[in-house]
Amino acid sequence: MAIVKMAKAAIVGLAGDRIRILGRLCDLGFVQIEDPEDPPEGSDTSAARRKLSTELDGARKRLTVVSKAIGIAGEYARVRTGLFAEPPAFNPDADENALFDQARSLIDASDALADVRERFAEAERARESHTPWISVHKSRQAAQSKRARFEGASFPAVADMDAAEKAVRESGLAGEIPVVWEDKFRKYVVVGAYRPDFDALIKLLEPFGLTIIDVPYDGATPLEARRKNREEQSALLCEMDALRERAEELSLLKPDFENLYDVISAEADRLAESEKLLYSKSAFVVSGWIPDGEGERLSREMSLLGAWARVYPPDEGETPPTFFKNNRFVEPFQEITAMYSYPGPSDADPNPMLAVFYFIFYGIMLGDAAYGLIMTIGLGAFAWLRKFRRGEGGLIKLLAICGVSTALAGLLMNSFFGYAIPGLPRLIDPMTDVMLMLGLSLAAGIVHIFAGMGMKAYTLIRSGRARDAVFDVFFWYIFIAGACCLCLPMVAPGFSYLSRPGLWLFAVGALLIFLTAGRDAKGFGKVTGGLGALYGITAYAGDILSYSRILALCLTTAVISYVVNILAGMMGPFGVIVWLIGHTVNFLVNALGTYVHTSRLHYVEFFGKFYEGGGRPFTPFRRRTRYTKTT
Amino acid sequence: MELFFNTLFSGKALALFGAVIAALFAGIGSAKGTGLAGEAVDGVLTEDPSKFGQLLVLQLLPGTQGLYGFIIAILIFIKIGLMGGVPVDVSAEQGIQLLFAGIPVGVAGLLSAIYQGKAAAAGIGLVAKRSGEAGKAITIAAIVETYALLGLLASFLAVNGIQVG
Repeated sequence: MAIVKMAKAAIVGLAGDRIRILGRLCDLGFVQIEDPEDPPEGSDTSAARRKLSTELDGARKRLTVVSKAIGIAGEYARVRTGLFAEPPAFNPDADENALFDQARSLIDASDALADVRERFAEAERARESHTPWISVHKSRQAAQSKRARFEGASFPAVADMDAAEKAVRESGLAGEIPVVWEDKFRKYVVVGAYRPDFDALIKLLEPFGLTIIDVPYDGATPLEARRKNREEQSALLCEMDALRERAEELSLLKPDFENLYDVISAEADRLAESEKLLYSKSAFVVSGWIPDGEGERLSREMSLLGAWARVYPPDEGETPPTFFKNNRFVEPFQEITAMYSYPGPSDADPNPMLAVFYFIFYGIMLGDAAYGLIMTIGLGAFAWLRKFRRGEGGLIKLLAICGVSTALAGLLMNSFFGYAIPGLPRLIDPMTDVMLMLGLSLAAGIVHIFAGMGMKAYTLIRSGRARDAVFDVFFWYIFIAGACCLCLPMVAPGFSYLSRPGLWLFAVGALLIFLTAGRDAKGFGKVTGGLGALYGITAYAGDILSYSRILALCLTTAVISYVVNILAGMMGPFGVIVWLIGHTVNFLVNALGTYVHTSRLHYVEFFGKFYEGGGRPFTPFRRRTRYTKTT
Repeated sequence: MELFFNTLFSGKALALFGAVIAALFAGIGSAKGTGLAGEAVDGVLTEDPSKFGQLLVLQLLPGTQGLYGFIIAILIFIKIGLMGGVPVDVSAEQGIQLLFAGIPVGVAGLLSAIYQGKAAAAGIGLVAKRSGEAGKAITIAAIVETYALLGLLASFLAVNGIQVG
C-alpha cells in the first residue's frame, strides 16, 4: 500500500537565478509548484506575471508554427520512422533561431506551392476553354465585320441540329450556325449573322438550348491562346519543381524541427510554472509539494544554486496531491485507478489489490492461450523496443501483463485459437460446463467483494474506527457467507450439508446487523436503520450476479473462435483468409470488451465498497517532451 | 396450398427463419450504428485527419452486433445440417424452438447497435475536442455492447441446448 507521504516546500531565490533554479527543479522532477493566491493588483508579482504571460503567448505561437512545419515535413519526408523505433534523444542546445527560420521557410514554400498549383489549374481550365475553337483560325476581334457579327455558343449534346438549322433557314434571317466541335456534353457552334438579324437569331435558337459563350476578346486566335496557356503552365511547372525541391530539402530537418518543438515547449512549461511564483523586485518564492523523503535533497540542491528551501508538513485540512509508488507489476494498473479517480484523503492505495484481481479476471474473460501469447509477446516487444521506462506506456504494459494470465487461463481451458492442444487436459470448457463456469464466476465475485470490504475495514481501523469495521464489515461477512451457504444447495444439491450452518450464519449475521446498523440513529430510527441495512443484502446480491459477466465474456470469445474455425474449415483455400480475419476481429473486439468489463467490475463493484476518490494526481514540474526522449 | 403451408412451417424453414432474424436484425443494427458514427467521424476528419486511427475504433464499436448475429445464424445452419455434416430431420417443434433462439441476438443486436452508434458519435465529438480522452470515449461506448453480448449468450445457450434430429 503505497501512497507516498507528501510535504510542502518553499524555495526563495534571487530574481536573476530564476531560470537556473527552475531548470534545476525541472531536472529534479519531484516538485509540484502550486499557485499560492492571487497577488494584489499593482504588486511586483502581478507585474512580473503580466510580463511572463506575454512571453508565454509568444512561445505558444512559435509552437504552433513549428508544429505546422512538422506536419508539412511529414508530407514531404521520404523516410518513415518505424512503429518500433525509439525516439531520438532530446538536445536542449539546438540553434533555436536558425531552425525556427527554416521552419518558417518550409511553411512559406508549402504555401507558395499550393498557390502555384492553384494557378496551374487555372491555366489548365483556361486552356481547356479554348479547345472547342481550335478549328477557327481567327481571333474574336478579327472575325467581326461591319455587317456581320460572330460569337461562340454551344448547344446541349442532345439538341437536334437539323431542326435548328431548318428553323434558321425558314425564318429568313441571314445567319448560320456551323458546328465546330463536339464533346460528350455539348455541341459548340459559331453563330454568325447579319448584324440587324443577330438578336432575332439568338432568340429563335434559345428554345433549342443555345448558350452564348464568352470567348476572350484579346486578339489572340484560339490556337495562340492555347499556346500562351501552355507556356504559362510550363513556367509554373518549373516553379513548382523548384518549390518542391526546396520543401523536400527543408523537410529533411524534420527531426530537428521535432527537437525544436520540444525545446520550445520546455520553455513554455517553464514560463507557465513561473507564472505561479511570487515576486518581489529582487527575489521570488516557489511554493509547492514534494515527496516527504526528498526534502534534504531539495535543500542541498537549492543551496548549491544560492537559493534557500524549507520543507514543512502540510496544515491540517490541506489535501496533498496523490503520488503512487508501487512495484513494476502493480504500476501499470495505476492507470485504471487514475481513470476512475485519485484517492481521497482517507483512502488507502487500492492498486496492489486491484492489480491482482484485474490480472486474474482479465485472463479468465479473454481465456485463449494464443491471444494471450500474442498480447504478451507483441506488446512486450513493443514496450521493450521503445525502451519504455518506469511510469511510461502504462496501458501497453498492463495489456502485456494481462496477456500472461490470458495465456494461463487459455491453457486451463485448453483453448489455442479455439482449438484444443492435443494431449493437454481441458480442465474446464466454458461451452459445455456453463453452470460450473457461472458458479466459479460468482464465487470469484464473492471473493472480490469480500476483498473490497476488507479494504474498507482496513481504512476504518487505520483511522481508529475499529468498532465500525467490526459492525459494518465483519458482521456483513457473516451475513453474506450465510446467505451464500443457504443458496448454494438450491442449485447444487451436492452441497446440501451447508444448509444448516448457512442458516445459522445467516440468522446470526442478520441479528447482529439489525442490532448495530442503526447505532447512530435516535429512538425508533435504530429499528428502521437496522431493518434498512438488512435490505442492503439485495445490493450485494446484485453485485455478485454482476460477476456473471466473467462467464459471458469468456464464452463469447470461445463461441466466436469455434464458429470462425468451422467456417474456415469449410472454405477450402480461402479458409486461411476467413480464419485470419475472424480471429483478428474476435481478438480485438474481446480484448477491448474484456478491458471494459474488468474495469467496470473494479469501478462499480470493488471500488463501490470502500473507495472514496476525489483526490488529485501529483504532477511535478518535469521535462515533458513529445518527440524526443530525455535521458 | 397445403403443400405451401407444409413447406413454410417445416422444421427446417422455421429454423432458417430464426437464423435470418439473428443475422438480419443484428446486421441492420450494426449498419445503422456504424453509419451514424461514421457520419460523425467524417465531420471531425475534415478538421483533423490525424485522428483517423482513434475515431475508426469508435466507429467500429457498433459493428460487432452484426458479427454476433452472424455467429448465431451460422450455429443454426450447422445445427440443421445446412453447412457441413449430414442433413438432419428437424421437426416443426424444434424448428420453432430454433426460431425463438434467434430472436435475442437479433433484437438486442438491432437496438443496442443503434444506441451504441449514438454513444459512439457522442464520443467522437468528445475526441474532436480533447483527443487525449479517446480511451474514455471508447469505454463509455463499449458499455452498450454488454447487452448485445448477453443477447448473443442467450441465443447461444438456447441453440446449444436444443436437441435436433
